[in-house]
Amino acid sequence: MKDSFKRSMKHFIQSHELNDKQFENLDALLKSSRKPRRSIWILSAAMSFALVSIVIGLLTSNGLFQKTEPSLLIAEEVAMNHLKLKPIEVSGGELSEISSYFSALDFTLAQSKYIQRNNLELIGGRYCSIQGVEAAQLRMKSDISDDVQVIYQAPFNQELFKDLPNLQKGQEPIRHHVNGITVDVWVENGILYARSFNQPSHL
Amino acid sequence: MFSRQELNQLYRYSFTLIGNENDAYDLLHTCVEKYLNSQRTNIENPISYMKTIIRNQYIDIRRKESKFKEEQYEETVLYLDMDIESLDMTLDNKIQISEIWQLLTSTEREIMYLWAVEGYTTSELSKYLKISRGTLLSKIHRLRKRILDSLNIENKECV
Repeated sequence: MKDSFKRSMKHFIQSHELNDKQFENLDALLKSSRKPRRSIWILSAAMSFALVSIVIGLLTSNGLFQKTEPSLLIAEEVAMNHLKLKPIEVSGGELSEISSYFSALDFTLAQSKYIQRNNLELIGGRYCSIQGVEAAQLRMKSDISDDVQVIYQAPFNQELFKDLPNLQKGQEPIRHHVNGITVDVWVENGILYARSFNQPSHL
Repeated sequence: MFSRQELNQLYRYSFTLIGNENDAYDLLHTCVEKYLNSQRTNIENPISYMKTIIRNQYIDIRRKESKFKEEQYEETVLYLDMDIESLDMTLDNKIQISEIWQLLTSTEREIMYLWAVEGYTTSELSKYLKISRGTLLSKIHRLRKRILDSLNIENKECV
């Protein structure tokens, strides 16, 4: 009796199949993996969401996000300077008197409308820097107490300092409290200003 | 997800590639796990996708064992008068196909499966195996000759 090779080969291959136990194992694997997979995905998504929420909450509550804000970075640097209060390099009671000393600056010192000079006397200044930008540090002293107020002026660099409150746009200075020092930061006529003083202050 | 019939179909493909039943089950089991762990969502043809996984897994196993050698060369001899159906010889039914099966390489077994079970044509085989038609026909020619030699069947008996 003769037979086709192709048919014989097909018959031979198809004679091989999974036994009952093998099929049951695979079937169980397929069934067990379907529902749990969805559950795992949902559970993983929920856990991820909860974790992200917690991390964001912690970062926000600790003010860690705000650390990247230029105004806070400025405030931290200014507060540090305020606590150290390095000696002044030039003395003078009027801005015009000491302006010539700051000839190395790329801008002209100016009087901010925000700073009230009530009971405050300019005593001098020194060079310093704010976030790496060369600046002038002007020191003012109350004539009725020992309170000292320090004014910083630096050319405003939009790329570096980003969006800070601008008095010409009707915005108010942003205020930070760092290590017991109160710091106001604002922009006025293209100049970055920062003012630091002890808290509480009557100034 | 897969019926028993479909799982048997995949099992036969695994058996074809790997050559024995126990390893075929292990191969299929591994590939089902891979399928389930796959991140792909819209699989249009799960059977074809599973076959691809099985084939890749088999090649991976063989590469690790340094037993799988892909034939990269292109053969220049053309067998214009041949196609896959040239393999369909008339055999005495006392000839055991299982004995012939033992003579075949994994690529030859795959050709047998795709031709005899899935009904692939020469062109479809060439495309599926990603080899040129000339290379495929050379393989078929050698395979046919080897089978005939081993069975001591004269060419005149071939249809």
